[in-house]
Amino acid sequence: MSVRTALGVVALLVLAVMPFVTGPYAVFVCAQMITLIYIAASLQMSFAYARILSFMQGTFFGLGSYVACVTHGSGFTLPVMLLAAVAASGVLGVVVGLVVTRMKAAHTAVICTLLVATIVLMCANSFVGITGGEDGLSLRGGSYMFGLAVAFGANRITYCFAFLPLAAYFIFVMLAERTTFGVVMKAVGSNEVRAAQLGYQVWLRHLAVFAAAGGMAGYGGAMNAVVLEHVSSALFDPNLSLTAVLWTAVGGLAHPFGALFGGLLVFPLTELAARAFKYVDIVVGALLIAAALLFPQGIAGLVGERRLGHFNRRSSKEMLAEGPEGRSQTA
Amino acid sequence: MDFSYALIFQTFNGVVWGLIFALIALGLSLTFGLMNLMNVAHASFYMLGAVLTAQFVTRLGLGFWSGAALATISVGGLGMVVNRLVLARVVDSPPVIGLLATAGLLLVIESSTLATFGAVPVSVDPPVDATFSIFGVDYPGYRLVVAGLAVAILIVTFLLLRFTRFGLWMRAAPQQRELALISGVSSGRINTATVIIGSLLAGVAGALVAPIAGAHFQMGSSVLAVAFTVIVVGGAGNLWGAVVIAILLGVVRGVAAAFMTPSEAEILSLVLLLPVLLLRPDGILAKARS
Amino acid sequence: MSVASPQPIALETRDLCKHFSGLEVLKGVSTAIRAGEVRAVIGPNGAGKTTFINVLTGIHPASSGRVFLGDADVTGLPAYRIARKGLSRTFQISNLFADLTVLENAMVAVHAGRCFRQSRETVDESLSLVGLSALADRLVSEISHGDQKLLEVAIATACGPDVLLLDEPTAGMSPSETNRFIDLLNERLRSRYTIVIVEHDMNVVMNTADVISVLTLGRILAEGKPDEIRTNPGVQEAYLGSAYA
Repeated sequence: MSVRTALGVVALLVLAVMPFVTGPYAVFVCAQMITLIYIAASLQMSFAYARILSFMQGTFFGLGSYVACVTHGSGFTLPVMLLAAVAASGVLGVVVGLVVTRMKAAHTAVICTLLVATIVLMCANSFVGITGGEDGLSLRGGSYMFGLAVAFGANRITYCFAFLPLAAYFIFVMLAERTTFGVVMKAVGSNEVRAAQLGYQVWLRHLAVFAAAGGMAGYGGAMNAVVLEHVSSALFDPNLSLTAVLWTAVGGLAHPFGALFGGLLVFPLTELAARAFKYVDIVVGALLIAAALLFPQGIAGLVGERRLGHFNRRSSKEMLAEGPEGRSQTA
Repeated sequence: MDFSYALIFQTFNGVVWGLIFALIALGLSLTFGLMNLMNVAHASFYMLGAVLTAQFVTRLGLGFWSGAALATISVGGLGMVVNRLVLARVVDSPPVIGLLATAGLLLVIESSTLATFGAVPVSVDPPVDATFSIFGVDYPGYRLVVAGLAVAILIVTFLLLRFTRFGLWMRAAPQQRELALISGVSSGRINTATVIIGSLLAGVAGALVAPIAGAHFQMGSSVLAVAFTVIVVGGAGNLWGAVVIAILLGVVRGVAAAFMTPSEAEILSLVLLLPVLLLRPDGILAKARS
Repeated sequence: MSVASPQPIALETRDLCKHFSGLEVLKGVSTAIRAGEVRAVIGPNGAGKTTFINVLTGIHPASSGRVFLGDADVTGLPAYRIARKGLSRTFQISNLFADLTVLENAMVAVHAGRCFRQSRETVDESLSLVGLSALADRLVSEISHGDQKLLEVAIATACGPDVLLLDEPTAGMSPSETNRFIDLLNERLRSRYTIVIVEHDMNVVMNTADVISVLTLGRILAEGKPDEIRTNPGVQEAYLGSAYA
């Protein structure tokens, strides 16, 4: 077992026993952190397996929150709320994915996700009647899960709803890492041209991954709404996506545990900083810069990413201009 | 106010905004095309141009034009510093690294601005009070001045890139990086110049906007996606393309604003860009150029 | 190679053209490669050899003309569908899954193959074919350039193709590696696949090819058995130059 896997298991175990040995405040903070880790994990998923550095994972998260809130308001129970949140953000993932997975150059996809995020934020701020704008909407009371009463807010039950699917995802990834499935996912994510030349339908796989990542962030958003009992248009602020990018970047973009480690490391740090210092985004930004300047390999996942960067630059210029065999002498 | 009046008024507004977008997008396109760097922090240069202008005018009591000039120069200086500290170090890294570093810069600059100047939007009185009557519409004179200045700045920038030796190097560098290096041009100096020109363009755009839209620490976010999309739709690295698309976008937004609320018009203009990105992900003007 | 009854055609192009925004790289390439044949495509730099392969495999769509794989018209199909119809390739500059191990690269390729009964044996077999079994657990980024080129061949064959396109397989190899590659091709690959090899090294071409096509300026200048090509004055002038004159 690698060090990373061991650390991951420890982190998951700590999170698992946490609500049973600590007080309500810790449960509240951790539940919130876990829901936010969904954004980071989904970002990592999108980047590692679909080659899309998505700046709109926060948008999926926000959509999930709102869908959960609205379905609750319409009298549906918790399973429906969660499923609807996943479905809605998954559908948005398919729609946006249809656009971004066809883009050859990596930067175009980033810009497209940023554009969609901006449009959704503007809509959320503009249609205050539906979204409640920056004041937002509240989720009152609780709900039912197959007859079992679930109170909203941070408690052991909602904590489990937030934590268990995430833990299941990480465990699945861990177990699948050396299987054909895991290896193929990594391969199709890391080298599109080669994968296509072996017979993989790359864009459909990327689309599926991007949609799944959207659904995943949507689930986190729904649980965030349940834990905080509140949603607002601020959830669509691109800064939320940026925060997730930071977590994943600090933990490492190449491996799913990067999102977990990054979240566990940065969230408490920023929470503490926020107590001492009002403008905590300065710290977040400085951390991002430091991560990019000092540990680019940490961000990129060592060798693989170095090669990817090279490949991306090639794919945009060379794929189109390679015609006259300009590179034949470089070998 | 009848409908045609509103249509003409809003179309003028659209052109003015389009020219402002063009200034921002041109700067962004320079750093992207020449350095292959997606400079997310570009939006904060624009924001700073506006905020500093407002601060210089309201706190230091400077006149608008001297305040705007000082703000623009300050932003250019900041661009130089930021380039030295951050951008120059990530320019040859994988695109992801540059993206993250500049995203960090955006956060730092935005929240430092918030910490220093507060969250309250500051409005600035336009230095030109007169209104001009065009096609029967009384249009604020300042906005016409802005349009004229923006056109002048765009022209000067193009002349600079077209006819100076420096501009030649700047245009040569991205296509033939090795060649440019062999011919003894320091890519570091080209990059520095690129970033300074880019930040000056963003800064002046912000300074000019201040009397129209006020100054607020978050105003950069609203133009970020727009500017990036404009340069992609215009064809990455195609400076003229970015400018043309920016102006078109502004006009669409202006015309739409005659039919709906301004924020709905803004949303519509952005939504219209999505199919373009889908159908021509490499840009509308990419083919035409090569 | 004298064959009593002619083999069916495995790969055929008819008047294949490709231009990149005005620059004509392929100007009507027509050729037919029979099953079991080893066809070498040679030509000076810029002749359009790599473009030819990229159009065949669907990386670049053809501007006009048609490509047939066996009886099937594959013109304009996306790359992955052409691959699934049995056309596989190697890359001139190693293009592997760099953050995976040698074995995992083979796993990915075997899984892509039309035969989905993935087993450890098929994966091992594909590596032992090129003699890389000993390196199975090494990361691709850690193995030598020559071994990467062999792994290119291993994964190109592991997905179960009928036709194998080798894009400068020996580029950057040492002379001894090149000789081993010639043996690999003649002893193990020739009997299993129809092979198209783009190559600069005349030693490799003359020792492997059944038929040689000479591509210059996007057209086929000459086509024939190695001896015919060697003695063709037009080819000597256009391509081989003083080295073979």
